[in-house]
Amino acid sequence: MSKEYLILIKYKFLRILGITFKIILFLGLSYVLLRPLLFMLSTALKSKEDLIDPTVIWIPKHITFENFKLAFNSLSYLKSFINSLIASLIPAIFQVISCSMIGYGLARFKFREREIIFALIIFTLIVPPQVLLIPLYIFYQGFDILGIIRLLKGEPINFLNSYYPIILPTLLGGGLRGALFIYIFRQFFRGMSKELEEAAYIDGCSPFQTYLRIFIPNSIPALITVFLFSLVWHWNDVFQLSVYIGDFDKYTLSLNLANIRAIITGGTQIWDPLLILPPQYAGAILVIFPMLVFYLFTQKFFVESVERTGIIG
Amino acid sequence: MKRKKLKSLSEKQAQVGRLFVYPWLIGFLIFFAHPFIQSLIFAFSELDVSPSGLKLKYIGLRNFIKALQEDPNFIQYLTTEITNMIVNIPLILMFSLFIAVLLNQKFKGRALIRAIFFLPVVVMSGALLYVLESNSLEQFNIGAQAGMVMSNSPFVRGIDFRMILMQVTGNIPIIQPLIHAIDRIYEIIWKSGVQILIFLAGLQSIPSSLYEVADIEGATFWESFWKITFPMISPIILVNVVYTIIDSFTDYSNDVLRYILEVSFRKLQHGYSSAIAWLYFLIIGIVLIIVISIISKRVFYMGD
Repeated sequence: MSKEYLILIKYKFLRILGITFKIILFLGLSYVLLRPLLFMLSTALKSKEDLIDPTVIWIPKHITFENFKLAFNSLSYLKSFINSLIASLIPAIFQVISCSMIGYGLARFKFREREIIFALIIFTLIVPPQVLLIPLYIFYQGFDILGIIRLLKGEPINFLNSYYPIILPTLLGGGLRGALFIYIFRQFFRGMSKELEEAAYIDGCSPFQTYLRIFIPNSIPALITVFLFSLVWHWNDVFQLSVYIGDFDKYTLSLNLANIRAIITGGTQIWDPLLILPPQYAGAILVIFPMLVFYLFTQKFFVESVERTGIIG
Repeated sequence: MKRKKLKSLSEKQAQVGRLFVYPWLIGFLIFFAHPFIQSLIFAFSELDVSPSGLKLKYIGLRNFIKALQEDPNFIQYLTTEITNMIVNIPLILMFSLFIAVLLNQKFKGRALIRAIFFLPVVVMSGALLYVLESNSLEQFNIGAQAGMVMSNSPFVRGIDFRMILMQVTGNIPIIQPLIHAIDRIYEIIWKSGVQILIFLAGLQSIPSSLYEVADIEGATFWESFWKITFPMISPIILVNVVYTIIDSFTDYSNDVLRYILEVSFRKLQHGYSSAIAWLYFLIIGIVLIIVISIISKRVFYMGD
């Protein structure tokens, strides 16, 4: 056999080895990533006999939806679903609008204090939310800005137990990781061509019209990315809500999930894991299910747009 | 009227820009700067919140002294959280870079694999992790009770592997955190979704001409990774380190965070909890500054 032929075989062999290695790796990691979800699903579907039956590992012999029913009721699913929707959809929409405008201002116009403001925006990312927690709590308890509301209504408004503490900051580009979204938009708008912008100005567009007609239609990937991130993070958020909301009627799905054991056991300390765990898992599946469906439909945008946004610039 | 006409184009531009950006500044003052300064004042005082209003009493550094010398919980939570972070960060970074490099190549079924890998970004939440983790101990009990296999926890755990490692290394304290990291491998994988995304975005921005040149010169994949990918991606490593640190201390499953909540809303010591929050912030700030200054010296910027 010639020497070239041997090299060719060696090369092919190495290639096949690399591909096999990759397939095994991805299969293994996918298993690790999907296992919690599959495990929860299979446990939640198991009936009581299946749970103590050692021959049943993944596929239950007697499929039951009792756990899902119990979890559905414990979470007061429909009500908290609507609450979750309010507490995540509205902030997400506001964040997309406000953060894109601020990002546009930072990316496309030069003014002296621009860099300082940008540094401040990054600074807000670094400060942990715990630091602001108590002052904000007190602030929302007697909500008032410069005494204006006291002047109009006679007394400050109590915003605790409502979603205003989550919604209000998003109007002005703040809120849950608002700084990150401003950053994403700034990077994205900075990368857009100057020619388009100039053409719009020559045609007589005002800067706001240019933003609305040129920049927004051309930045759909960035808009979708930010909307998805914002929606999902608000949906999953427990920290903010657990502080501001005390009324069970206003609990969102994730808040209920964080307390699901107490709800199922009715506050008693006596409980049997065999009775508690399956409905708990069923509850977790019910809570993530809407986002999962949403993700299935948008994941193509999600992945590709993050790449095209060029978060790093 | 005449003065307005005299405004230069750049001044006009600046005006418009300010119009877009200043709303943020208003929000910043109301929802950030004001509470930020207030919390600093709280940290130095004893605070009573009653329906009639606030009662502030200046007590100097008492709160900080209490946190550092008297409180048995704070220091413990802080040290575990920080050691966790220090062990987790390199692992998360290495793992996510590795996966990002693999996912950046073209192969069949890439879309599916990507969808699976970014699933944690969507699904992962403090509440979910709490539900899953709080059960691992009981899982053990169930297993013992019902004769089930012990690995029946929702996450894959390397229990056996850990035991072997412990025996081999003879329980050396320095290796302990690393062995515990093996136990937390699922956590690392589950927490690196966003990091993989950021790395992928970075990898996409590397011009392919660099790799073509390397290919022509006969560089192997391994060589071109260390000579091209790694230096080109080093600014993004910095971004990811900072993101991971920030992410780890804003997470709901963070012990210090939960302790701060507990102190202020169960024990009603608002001033003290502000002081802890500030201490935590300062320590994280110092960690961030050290990490950034170490890494940014080694970061390579194209065009420098």
